Amino acid sequence: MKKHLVFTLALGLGSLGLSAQEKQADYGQIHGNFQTNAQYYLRDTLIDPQGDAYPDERMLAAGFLNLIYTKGDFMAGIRYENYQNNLVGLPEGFKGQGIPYRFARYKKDGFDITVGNYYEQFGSGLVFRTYEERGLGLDNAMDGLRLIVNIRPGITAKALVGRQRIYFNTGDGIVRGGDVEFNLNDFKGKAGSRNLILGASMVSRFQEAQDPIFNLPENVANAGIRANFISSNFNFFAEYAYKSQDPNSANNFIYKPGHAIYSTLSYAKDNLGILLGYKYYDNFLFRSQRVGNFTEAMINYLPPLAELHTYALPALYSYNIQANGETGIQAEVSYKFDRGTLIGGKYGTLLNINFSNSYALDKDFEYRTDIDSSQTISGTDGYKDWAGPGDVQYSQDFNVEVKTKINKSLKGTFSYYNFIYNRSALLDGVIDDRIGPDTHLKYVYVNAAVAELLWKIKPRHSLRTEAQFMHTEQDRGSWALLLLEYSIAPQWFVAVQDAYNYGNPDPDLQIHYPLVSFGYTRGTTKVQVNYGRQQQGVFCVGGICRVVPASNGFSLLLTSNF
Amino acid sequence: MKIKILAFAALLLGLQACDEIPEDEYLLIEGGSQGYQGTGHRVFLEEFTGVKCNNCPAANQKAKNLQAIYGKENLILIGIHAGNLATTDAEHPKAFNTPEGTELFNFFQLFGVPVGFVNRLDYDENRIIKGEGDWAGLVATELERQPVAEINLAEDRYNAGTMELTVSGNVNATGTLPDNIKVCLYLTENDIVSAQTLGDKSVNPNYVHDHVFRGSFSGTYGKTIDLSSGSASFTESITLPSDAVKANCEVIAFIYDADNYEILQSNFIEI
Repeated sequence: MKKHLVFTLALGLGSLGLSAQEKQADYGQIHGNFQTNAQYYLRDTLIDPQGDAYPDERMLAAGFLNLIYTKGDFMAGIRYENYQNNLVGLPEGFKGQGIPYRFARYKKDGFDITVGNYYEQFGSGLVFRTYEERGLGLDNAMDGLRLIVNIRPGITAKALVGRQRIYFNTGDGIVRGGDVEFNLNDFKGKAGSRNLILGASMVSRFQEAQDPIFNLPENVANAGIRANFISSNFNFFAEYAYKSQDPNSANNFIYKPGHAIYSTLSYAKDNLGILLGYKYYDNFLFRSQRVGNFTEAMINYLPPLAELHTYALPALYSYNIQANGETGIQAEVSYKFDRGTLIGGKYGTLLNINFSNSYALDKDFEYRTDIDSSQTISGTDGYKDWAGPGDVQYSQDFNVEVKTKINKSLKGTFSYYNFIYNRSALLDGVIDDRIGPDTHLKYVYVNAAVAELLWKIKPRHSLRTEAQFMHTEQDRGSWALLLLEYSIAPQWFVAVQDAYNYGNPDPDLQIHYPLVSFGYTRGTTKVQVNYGRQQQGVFCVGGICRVVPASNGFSLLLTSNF
Repeated sequence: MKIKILAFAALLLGLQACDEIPEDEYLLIEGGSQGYQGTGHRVFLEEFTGVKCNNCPAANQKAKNLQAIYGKENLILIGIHAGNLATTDAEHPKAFNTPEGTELFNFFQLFGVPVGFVNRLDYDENRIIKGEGDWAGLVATELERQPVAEINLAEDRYNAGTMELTVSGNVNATGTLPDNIKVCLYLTENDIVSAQTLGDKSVNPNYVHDHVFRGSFSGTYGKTIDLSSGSASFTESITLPSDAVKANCEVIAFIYDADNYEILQSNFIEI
């Protein structure tokens, strides 16, 4: 009772963290991390003539504090979140303040039990993945129960039930699921360079159906099997998943089941690394309720199998997964040229070549006449099962990266990019059942190059520069960007950046986007201040993207942990 | 050990299920109006929309399809243009935003369109705003409820010179009503031809807008009405927008619980 009281007090008052730490031998430990992001917006009629992205509040701020208490096999935590209001471009449903995340977890007798909120993933995520990605405004945490059992060495089973978080509420659907994984080496009790891991998982959603038009299934299941074979040089992973009838707002209420295949094969030996990947996603968006916007209530995750670009200009055309249907491949070769060779030079050179593409599925749509005499796919199977690749290309990405050390104090990374980007589908949201023979699809053809140099001027002092060029005759035209970042490790940095959209087809928008940043780190606390104009872009993590509107103003980011 | 395995297997089997709908049973209703006989409890579907919103025409069509099923005498539609997708530009010369619509959009803390309320159910600070996929179920459920009041509505007079319209009506209680009730009258207009962004992001300059909210007779939230005696009457006036076509206009009257905003009954007249 006494321990419960102390724990409750410690959780309720973060300031007690220190006293709890002093007495950790008796009462366990509290750890936490804090982040706040505030932005003061300035009206900029050049980049936002209508003021669509200029908030009434002028200043917006969002932040959170995680507090985790641990003692032996017991763990509990809360997350306080505060949105006053959320930053422009992030979901406005996150509004206000509260404690939407709280959990308790303990392990005993081979059982690992969690009550409250938790994140979990089965396999690659085709069947189930709940996670948080604040940059996307995505948090689909479960609120319920989770049980993990080590049945015997090498066999682990998981079961869960609950509802998913949507902003400060939970979704309409109840999610139930389980996963079993077999690890051959652990089963045999010996380590080795070869291993076989097999898994099977299943998740079901229940949501009451009251629709007067569609006879909706109240229980929808998603099940998958997977295998991972590992040897000293090879790593092969494959997962297949099947989703039962799931008419929903994203697939336009069609009834055909969904299929997903995700497979990768990698080879690594000496200086050579090769990765091959294949994806096939057909009608495989799975939410814990039939209607959801953006990233709300997503139960599963579809790996994008495309490289995530981090440099600002190439990142403007990042790949956005098309959950209603797509198929594609990825191939990547990396080779390290040893030092002392012609290409390796004095310090060695790393070469990485990457190719990926994605196509819509060849859907022969089935239509019916709706109440208003229009043709609709709603209330039909939608299209034939196991549709092959179609004619509509979503993307192609070819890029080459060379990393080398030029001399003792200078490192360089040089990249070339060639993209084919279906703007209509990937950015404008023109989904495939809206694409007809007369639809004008906007493709963007991009050639880009980036040179990054890191110069260690003297101990603790370094200068990082990025020169980026991106040429395209479509969309917003060509860009150039120059970044200079001076750091005094480990505490200070100051950066100046200018992105120039010199090729914009609208002469009024051939403008500069200057940005100045300043950062200071003390211990585990970091403060960063930015001022300037930021171009409209796309922020993507794991194939899930959100559009970031152009903005002008000051921003402050503060992170801290203890 | 066996107990653990069995317990887990049982748990998984017990939890998992999926319903299989045969192809010939996908649709519960086909075709147009089925001659639906309601209880007299009308449903008010308040759709928030915008001329630059590419997903709004499809949502609006879903609302119209529901109205085709249940009849306009049972399901009353209104399209409130508000938010940053209800603004004008070179391609969209009209946006139909109104001060009252913007006030509602902000009051209900909406942040995107299309969304909508069915009789303003579930209004609270932490509610999940209902997208078009939720409307059908909510409408069906609401239509089955017994009415607690009836609203009668009639056009009193119209001054063509000033475009001032006056309507009057009365509310008669037929069931148990909450204490704090307000009556509200909105003006809508059909058949307005103006630009709208479509699903493929193209702009149709000749899109036909129906059920467009053009203004309120008595403020955004209406006026308190005393139904302690079982009935009450009202008379309200509005000046039509200068570009409105009276023959295409309708007046919607509704009463709602002022404590939780739930709409208890509604009715409309063509003018």
